[in-house]
Amino acid sequence: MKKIVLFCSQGMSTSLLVNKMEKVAEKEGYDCKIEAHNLASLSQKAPDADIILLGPQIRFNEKKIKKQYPEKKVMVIDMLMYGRMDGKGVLESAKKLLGD
Amino acid sequence: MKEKFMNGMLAVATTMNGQRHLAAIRNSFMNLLPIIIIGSFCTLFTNVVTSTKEGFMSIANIPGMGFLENIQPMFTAANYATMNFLAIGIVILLANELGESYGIKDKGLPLIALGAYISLCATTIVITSSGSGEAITVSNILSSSYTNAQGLFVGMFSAIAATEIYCRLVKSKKLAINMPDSVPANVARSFEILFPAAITILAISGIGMVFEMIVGMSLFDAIAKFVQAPLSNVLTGLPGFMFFVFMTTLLWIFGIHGTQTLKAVSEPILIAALAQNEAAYAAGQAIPNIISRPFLNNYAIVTGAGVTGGLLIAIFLFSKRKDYRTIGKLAIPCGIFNINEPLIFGLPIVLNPLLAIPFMLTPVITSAFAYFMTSIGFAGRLVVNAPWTTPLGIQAFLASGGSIGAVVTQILVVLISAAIYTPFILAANRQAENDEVEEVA
Repeated sequence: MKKIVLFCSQGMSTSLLVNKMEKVAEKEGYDCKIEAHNLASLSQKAPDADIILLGPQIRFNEKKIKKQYPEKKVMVIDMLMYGRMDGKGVLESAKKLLGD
Repeated sequence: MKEKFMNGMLAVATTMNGQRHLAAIRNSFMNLLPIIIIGSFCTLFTNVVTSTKEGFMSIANIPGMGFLENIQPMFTAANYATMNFLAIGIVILLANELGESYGIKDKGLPLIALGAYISLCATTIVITSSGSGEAITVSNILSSSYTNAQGLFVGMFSAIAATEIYCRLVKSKKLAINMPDSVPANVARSFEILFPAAITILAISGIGMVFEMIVGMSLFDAIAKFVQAPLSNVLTGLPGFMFFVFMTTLLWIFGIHGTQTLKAVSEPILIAALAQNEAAYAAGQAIPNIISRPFLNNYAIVTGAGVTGGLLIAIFLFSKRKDYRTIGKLAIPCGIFNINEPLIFGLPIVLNPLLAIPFMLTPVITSAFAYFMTSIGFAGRLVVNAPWTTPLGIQAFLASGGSIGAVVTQILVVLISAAIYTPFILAANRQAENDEVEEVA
């Protein structure tokens, strides 16, 4: 099972996206766990993630996080997909990066 | 050119967000917030439920409900226990956060920082006897002005200084006392920490002592007077606040969380102002500040940064664009809880010159409007910090301790916002039409 963790500044707007992604994953039968957290809890929540997705509003943290977790996949969510809460699109790009 | 500017803005935001101390301050205030919310809600309960003071619109003043007064001590005590210890809280949280960023997770570090901070506080106070007018020195007492929001700035400075000193000393290993291998590891560790801890506390206490010897004024008073007071005057004044709000939306235009990014600067000041208001409200005195933390939540970022509730109204009344209406529908449930990322990234507002103008203009204008409505006494001054996700109307009602004028003002703020966004939505209609014509051609 893959663990996908989304981060934004407070974990509020990403949690909406998580709901949409979960629905798509369920429909597709993709075995994964998706969570949303605030960036402040990165050090507690990131270690057991397979892929870290960042909300576009905090995208400037990408480099730092990549350096912090070099073994993990890190991706900034596309702005339009994020704004349109496109769960399918985001899940697909995450899967692609994970190689699934 | 656009690309270059965009990269420049990103660089600024990255620096501000990534900067160790600013990030630690921001996270500490985020963790302090629940305490502030609990504290201010206790005051709200006291005043609207249990108070039997004459003239209060409280439930206990309704005939037959007077028994509610009996549970008041519970709220008063909880309020005292939270609102009066914000400085202590920030010292502990900040030392912990900053230490962690250096990879130092010593559980004792927050207490060392606290010791350093308290060493800068006066523990004797001079009071004047109300009867004889005689000055009496009371020793062995820590005034609440050192533990509550008035101490936030000095608290932040000493927590940062203490953590910096301590982490460097611990990392340098020069001070560590080498124990033979036969000594249990934990015993050796306790000694390892002892010297850095002692040096840290003595260094800060020493700086405080030398400062007072030379300047003749305590370091605490000097920071409060020459740093905290001027900064607070600027940000709690209307022009300074309008500039601050403008900067937050400017950052959002580049897709950066503006309010969050500038929190390290705004939070200590706006929370100290709120604490003053809240204390006055609890004591039944005149409320000192118009602008404080809840003013931002209530009038400048209500329905989301840029007061986009008005944008939603404008879209549903006037937009002919299918894409706008689709995003709009998606954005309503978020907007109710003052979240608007769907609009910001979906329409998008980010890097969209047409919508950027009203987005930056609206909160500045609504802040000025709300300031005016509050200063003429129509809207009650804000005394309670409701969570920022509290919906429109309810938020103002709670924050003002039940002022209907504040509720009306908050609704007007959203209507003003709708009026400002409308011409731009009409222009977006025309823009879409032109695009279609071009596509056909």
